[in-house]
Amino acid sequence: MTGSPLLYLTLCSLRNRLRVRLRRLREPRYLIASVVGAAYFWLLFIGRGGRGRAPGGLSLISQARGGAETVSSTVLFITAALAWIWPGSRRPALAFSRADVQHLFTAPIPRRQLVRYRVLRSQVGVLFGSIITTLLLRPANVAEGGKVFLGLVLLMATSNLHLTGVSLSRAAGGWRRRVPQAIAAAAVVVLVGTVAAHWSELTAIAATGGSVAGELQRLSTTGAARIVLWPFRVLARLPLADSTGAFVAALPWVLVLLTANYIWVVRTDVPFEEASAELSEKLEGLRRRGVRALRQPRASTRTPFQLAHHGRPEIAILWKNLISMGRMLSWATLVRIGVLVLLLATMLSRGRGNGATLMTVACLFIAAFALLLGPQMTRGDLRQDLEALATLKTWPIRGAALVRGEVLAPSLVLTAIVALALITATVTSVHAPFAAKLTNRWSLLIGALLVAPGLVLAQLLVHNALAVTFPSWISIGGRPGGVDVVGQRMLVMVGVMLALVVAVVPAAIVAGVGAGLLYLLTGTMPVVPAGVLAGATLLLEAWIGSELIGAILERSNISAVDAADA
Amino acid sequence: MIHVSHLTKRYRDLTAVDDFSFDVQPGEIVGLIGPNGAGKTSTLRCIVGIQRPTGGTITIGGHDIVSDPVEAKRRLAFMADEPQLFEYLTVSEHLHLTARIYDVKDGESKAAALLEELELTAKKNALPGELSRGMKQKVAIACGLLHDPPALLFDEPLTGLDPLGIRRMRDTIVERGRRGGAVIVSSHMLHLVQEICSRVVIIDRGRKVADGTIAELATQARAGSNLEQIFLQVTAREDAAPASGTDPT
Repeated sequence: MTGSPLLYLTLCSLRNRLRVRLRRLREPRYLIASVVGAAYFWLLFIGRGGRGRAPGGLSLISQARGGAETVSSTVLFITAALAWIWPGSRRPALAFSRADVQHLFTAPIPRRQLVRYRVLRSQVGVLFGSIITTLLLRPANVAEGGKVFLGLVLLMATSNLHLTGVSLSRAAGGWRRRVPQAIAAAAVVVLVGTVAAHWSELTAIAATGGSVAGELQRLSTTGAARIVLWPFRVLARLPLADSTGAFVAALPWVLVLLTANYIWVVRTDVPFEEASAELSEKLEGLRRRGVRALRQPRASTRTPFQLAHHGRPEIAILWKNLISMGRMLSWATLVRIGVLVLLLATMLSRGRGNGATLMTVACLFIAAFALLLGPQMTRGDLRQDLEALATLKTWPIRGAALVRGEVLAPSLVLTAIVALALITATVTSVHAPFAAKLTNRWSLLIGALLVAPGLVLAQLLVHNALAVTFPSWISIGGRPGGVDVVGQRMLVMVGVMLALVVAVVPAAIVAGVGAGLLYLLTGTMPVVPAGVLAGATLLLEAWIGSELIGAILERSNISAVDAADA
Repeated sequence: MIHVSHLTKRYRDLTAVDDFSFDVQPGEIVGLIGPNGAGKTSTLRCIVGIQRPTGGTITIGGHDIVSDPVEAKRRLAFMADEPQLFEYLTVSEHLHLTARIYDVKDGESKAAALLEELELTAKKNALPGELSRGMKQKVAIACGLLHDPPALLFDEPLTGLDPLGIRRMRDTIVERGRRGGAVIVSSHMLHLVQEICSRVVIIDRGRKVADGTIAELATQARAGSNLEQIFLQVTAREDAAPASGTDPT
């Protein structure tokens, strides 16, 4: 009987969440977004049938089932081992919401029951994740789909429970922490030792062009490694089973593992409340403010420039946003981006020569990325300030000035990145196989540098116009996902692309006419003057756009939703 | 200084404020009170330009908030119930930014004086995340007072403050009124309103139901001199009225 209130809470929350989702379909913006999102999923999961149908993930897996099983079981093993051994791995065991903390932690409910409740709630995510993964793997028929889905549910639920148990045991300390840690460490030693013992064989196989993967697969299914990896292999085998017989054979073992983990978790009597309450605050911050909530801003950073006491308000807002961007960025993020770019550049320039070529490709990649995806990702503008819009609207400045000030910081940063990347690419492209003549390269560079600010501004203005007109479409925090959210994102993407085309056409016409006239007069195709004309047209368009968005901002009711609180 | 004439604010089918008029003169502290959902916040948000009125006019120092918003807002300060600060700006940077936005002469020295007055000097390099709620409220007040506005609006100014903070906030409001500011205080804390306001406007279901000094309201409502009794009488919430003679102040 004591379990029923928590079950009631779970079921009511699920039902009402679904009800809210359905009710908001009455609003055209959500309905349209849902239709678009549903169409996208249809195309992604089902609609690619017919002649051009690419082989599904499952059919690819079936060609190398043994390898897939080894890889999956190794990944599961590494995840579990890291959770036990890695020193920094101290995630709170159970993620409760703020309301859970306030209402349930203070209620006369046994701790074990709270654990059971949280475990039950976390299975909702497991179910959803399994459905999506099953659809992505594109099973051939319903029976295969059911098998994969059930296998994934059991696999994810067991992993989820195990990681929860690890966190609880680590929080408990003492032997409950040290003994399993020692076992995990021993397991790691066994696997690393197995590979080390057969290192010479592996290198020999690699040297003769043999199958290293096949040998690793053999090693993982023999000797001590086989014992260590057994539970993980059993789990991985279930969704990968190629027949009903194989599935049924693996099922009892997985159920044993699931039950054992469940009993272990609910019987671990550890005070988790404090860590969970702390996590609930973090999750709330994440929900409201997105990943920014997880970053610790650095107050010690210097301001980008000394703000004069008087002058245009746009510059003051630029100053504010540059400070914010500077304090949000971390070296770790920059290093991660750098590594990613280098990896991609290596792949793109493979077989095309030396380090300079690699650098050229990396820089061109960065420039294209900053130009086309930067405005979507860099949110140091009105999107970041949506929560403070009430404050901004009390400032004695015109809406257009506010909009211009807001987009200045991201446009400056992105333009600087594009410029730096293009200049480097021009310098390093001397020996690149695709390089043009030196003079042409520099002309193209100057032309590109003239056009880039306008292109960046045009996109940023579209994003800010959306923030002003459809603020609920701009995700500030970790909003719950859904079909409508996917649809919204697709519509935003299409809108931005259309706006970019609309902005580029007049600029291209002006530049084309100007360049054509100059060509008739001089006989050479002038890249730089064309860039000047195109850039100036784009900037003029951006100015007009900011005036329009400013006017909308001045007329907008920023919180029509809080009418109930009026 | 603040002139609200026939203000109407509608949200789709809901009329939050309906033909609401009142004035606030320099040196006057007016309490805007009403039950939950009466239209107080909508009125304040329309006055400061956060929301656009559906009908009527609002002028601040003779400047219309809709047709001449920049000049009207120059004369305004709005202290919201929940202080909104920029999370990546330090306290002193907030003041610096505000000084620039409002084009404040001697912004630096005024900011330093305000930081001192509000006991924020030690926290001037702190980010909002490092401040308590009361401290954040003080920063918002400092930003609001920096340009010495002739019109000030406080929405639930005492929310989340400790007893010392409440006293300081009350003193700040009174001091601004004494210096000639036109002040509107919206609060459910009727004892505060009774204590500091020279006039009270009661709004209920979007309409003005009473306007006057406490003595005038008491006569009109034929209730005691206690604002709580007057409020309950005027808004027809007798069922919740306390026993006569009790004084919450």
